[in-house]
Amino acid sequence: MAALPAPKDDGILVETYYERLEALKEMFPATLRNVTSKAVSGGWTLFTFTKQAAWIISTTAMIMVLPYIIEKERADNEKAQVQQQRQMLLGPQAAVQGSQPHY
Amino acid sequence: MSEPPPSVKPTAEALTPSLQPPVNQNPGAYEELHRKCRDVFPMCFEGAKLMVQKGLSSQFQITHTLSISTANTGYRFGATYIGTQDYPGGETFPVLLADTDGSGNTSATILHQFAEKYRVKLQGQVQQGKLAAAQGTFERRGRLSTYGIMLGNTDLINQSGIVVGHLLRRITERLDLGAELVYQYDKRSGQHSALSYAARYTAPNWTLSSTLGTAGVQVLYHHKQHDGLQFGIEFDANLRQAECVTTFAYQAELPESAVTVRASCDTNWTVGAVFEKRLSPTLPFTLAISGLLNHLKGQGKFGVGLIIGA
Repeated sequence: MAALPAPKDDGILVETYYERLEALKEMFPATLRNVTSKAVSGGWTLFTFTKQAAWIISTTAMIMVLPYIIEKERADNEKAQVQQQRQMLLGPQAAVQGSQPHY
Repeated sequence: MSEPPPSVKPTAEALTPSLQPPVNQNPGAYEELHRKCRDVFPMCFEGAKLMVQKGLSSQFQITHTLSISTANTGYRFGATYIGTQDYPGGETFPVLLADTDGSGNTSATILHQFAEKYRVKLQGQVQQGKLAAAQGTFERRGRLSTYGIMLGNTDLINQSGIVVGHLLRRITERLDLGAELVYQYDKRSGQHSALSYAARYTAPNWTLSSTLGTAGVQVLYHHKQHDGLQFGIEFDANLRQAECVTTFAYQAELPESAVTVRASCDTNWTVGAVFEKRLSPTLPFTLAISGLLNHLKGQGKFGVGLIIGA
């Protein structure tokens, strides 16, 4: 007996494995899918923007502001130290007087 | 008899008129219109620089400059001679300045003032044995106004050169107005001229100055917050190249450590700063570090310099 020819359409969908994985997304409603996709790409953009902003702000502050801040802190520390020493040696009166420029 | 009330009694102050020296109302040179604001901006440099300044006498000063950088590596020698004629205002004339390097490229300036009103400035530049640029300026500084005329690169053989005439007048105690006409003539390319107007308003704490012409608009604002802090904002619109740049700069000084910081940032995404510090109160060493960063190109240029002598 000759084999029967295979039916043209037997109702079974032929899919690759990747297509089946892809189709799992259909378990979520379409609006939820869109919102999640936008949120993830928005979050990634925000992350990239924050990286760039952090770099620009930190290098700009390093060049424009850092040397002045370091020098001001150093000068204030020395002034306070000199004042403290004078106060210890000569009493509270001497600490108020001005002193020579001290580099 | 009762004494007259105190307000009627003549006091010694009211009898003698106040003898104050006349206030100089001259608005200054036209080129110095934006000087107050431009001084706040940092002069960034690249590479290593060593400058030795030595005064040979009270009138003569020598400068040796050694620079190592990608732009130019070499030695420059500078000399300054200041003459003996003193004028009120702290200026002494004549002034001769010259700057030359090892291969003979020289630039020289002579400044002299006659009769406290007329000032002459001659500048020349020689490169590779040929006169590259020469200009002469004649200025009349009157009571309330400054007139000037400048002839640059006048070449009688090729009939080319530049003539600039400018005037700056003090209108009120705070407002100065001026104008400048630049005329350039050349046998090949013909004659071109450009007219521009300038205005400067000076308030006790701030100054607003502006230049408006066919080549572009510049508006500069300078603000002095207190003795150690000054701000400057410059808006520069170049109509020929269709470019606009706004720059913000500040200058901070710490007098007890002899530190000066100048920093600027602008709309071309460029940030620059120069930090100068005197290393010792007795020894004349000054350290200067400079940094320039362009965010768009991601390129930075940094320099360090040491200045010895005043």
